[in-house]
Amino acid sequence: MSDSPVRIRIALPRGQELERLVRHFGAAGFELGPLLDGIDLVEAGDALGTGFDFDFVTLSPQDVGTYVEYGICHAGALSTDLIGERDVQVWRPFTFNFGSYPLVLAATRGTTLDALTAKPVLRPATPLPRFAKEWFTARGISTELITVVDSAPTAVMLGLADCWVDRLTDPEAVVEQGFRVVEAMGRTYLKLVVNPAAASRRRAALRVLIGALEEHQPEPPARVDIPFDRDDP
Amino acid sequence: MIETTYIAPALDRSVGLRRQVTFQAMRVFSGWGYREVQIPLVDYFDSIRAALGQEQIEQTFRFVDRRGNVMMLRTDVTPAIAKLFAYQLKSQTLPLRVSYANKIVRIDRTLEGSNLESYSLGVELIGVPTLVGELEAILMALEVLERLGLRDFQVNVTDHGVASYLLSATGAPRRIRTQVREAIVARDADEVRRVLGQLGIRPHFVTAISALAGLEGGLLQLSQIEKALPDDRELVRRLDEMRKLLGVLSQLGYSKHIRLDMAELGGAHYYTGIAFNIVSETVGRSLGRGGRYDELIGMFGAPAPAVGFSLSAEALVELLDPMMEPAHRFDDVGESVSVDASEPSAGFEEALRRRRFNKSARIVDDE
Repeated sequence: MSDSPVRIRIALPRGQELERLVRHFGAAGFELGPLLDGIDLVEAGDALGTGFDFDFVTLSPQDVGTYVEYGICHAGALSTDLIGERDVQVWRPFTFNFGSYPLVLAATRGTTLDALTAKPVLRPATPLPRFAKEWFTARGISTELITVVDSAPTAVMLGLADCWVDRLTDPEAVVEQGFRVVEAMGRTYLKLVVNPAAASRRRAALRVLIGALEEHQPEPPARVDIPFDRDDP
Repeated sequence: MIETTYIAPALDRSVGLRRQVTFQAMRVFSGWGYREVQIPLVDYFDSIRAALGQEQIEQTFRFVDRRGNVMMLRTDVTPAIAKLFAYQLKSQTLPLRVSYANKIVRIDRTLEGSNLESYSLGVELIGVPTLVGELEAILMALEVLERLGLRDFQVNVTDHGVASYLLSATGAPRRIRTQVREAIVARDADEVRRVLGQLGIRPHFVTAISALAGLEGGLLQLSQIEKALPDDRELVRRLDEMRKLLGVLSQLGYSKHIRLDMAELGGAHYYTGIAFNIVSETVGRSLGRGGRYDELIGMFGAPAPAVGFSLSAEALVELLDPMMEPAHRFDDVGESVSVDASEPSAGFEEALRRRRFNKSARIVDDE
């Protein structure tokens, strides 16, 4: 719960998308440069004339949903794959143009889905066990999921798993490591998420914020080219 | 190591506060003519199952009795009352007004255990098919909150019938309708448009349905929906009903706490019409839900229109905690009365004398 009725606190995830988020919110009127210098809290004031002062905090991407769901932060930026994994109950009223990635099943070059499903027990490594379980179960594929927090490809390279399921953020690195995508399983989007108990005035202020973000939506980055195994020469 | 997964707080301050909240709510319910009803904690799973949504079924504790019947612990009071009415109370004169203050048991989504048991305070009004029923329910909920001294709350009102009507009209399969409904609840208009766009749904339906998901809420939502489908008489009738409800509540002086929000479609699956969710920014979550459920009782017997709501005692206590005094506060709390174990009469006489004057009497064995 917020400590002030006239503040709106927004949680931004540290890591890959922070720089683009800072630029986007900057275009919308909030100077958030210090967040990129390791400062965790920026009091950015009422740049949009909403009657609310906006504070921005950086958190681990894994924690953004929790802070917003419990109302400590009124809003935040969170990807749909993490919303699904953590089953956080939040609203998602705005989609950022960036931070959208394919969710893929990948394995070492030359491996087919038939070869994977022919194994007595398929062991995929993934930081997204809930999503992966739903996908495999819907296709009748029995798995023993290996949940990893960091690099799923490492689990395959070291022999812990047969394949991996994760976001495809850097296709070149995947190819260099000797992996190819077996199946595109879905797509994740970066959303502005909002606590569902937001009252009328705060909602109105968030609507103004969303309007400003829509107005300054950057050009979407080039779509990630998925390196399918079948496309290899 | 001791297993603490399912242990609830034993001497927490919330125990006393919950009792006060329950007392206050039941007084309000009684004042509106509601009689308290007794609901079984354990019921036959198969007899209730049809009235539960998939999520509620997954939240249910089940076990097998000595005769091999699958039994369940109560997860939601409303289906139990619907069954009770159909089986035992159908000869009662309508409208029937019943209230309850019951514990419910649910496997929560995190399974961390602390929220497995909770207290639900509520009412069911059976046999009133008109807007009068919804108004009575909302006004009662507002009175409970006011009498508890709460100011930071908002009642978000919707009509499940509008969403169901629009989604059915698209002809989309049930799985897609569920997906779209979830996106509406999450105020994710982009996702609504994406899913419906893939199916080639006609644009004016996509416009109307994505308007449901708008964050702005309010009468603007109704105008957007009506503008997209102006010739649909059933839809326009429902939208006018919403306007009428808001108008009456506004006339009664509640416009500050009432908000139209057509995306407020969460909660139990059995709502068929106007429904509401009471939220508080201070606790960052829902305090209670209610609404019309005209098809639930028909699952157990002859159909009857009904409307009701329930409040979460835990959420109310969380909101009240800093404001309320303990239930029985004595200025001389802690004052002890010595009782000699070999000659206890004198000590207990003193204790009884103090109690007659409503003073505390904490017995100390003076052996």
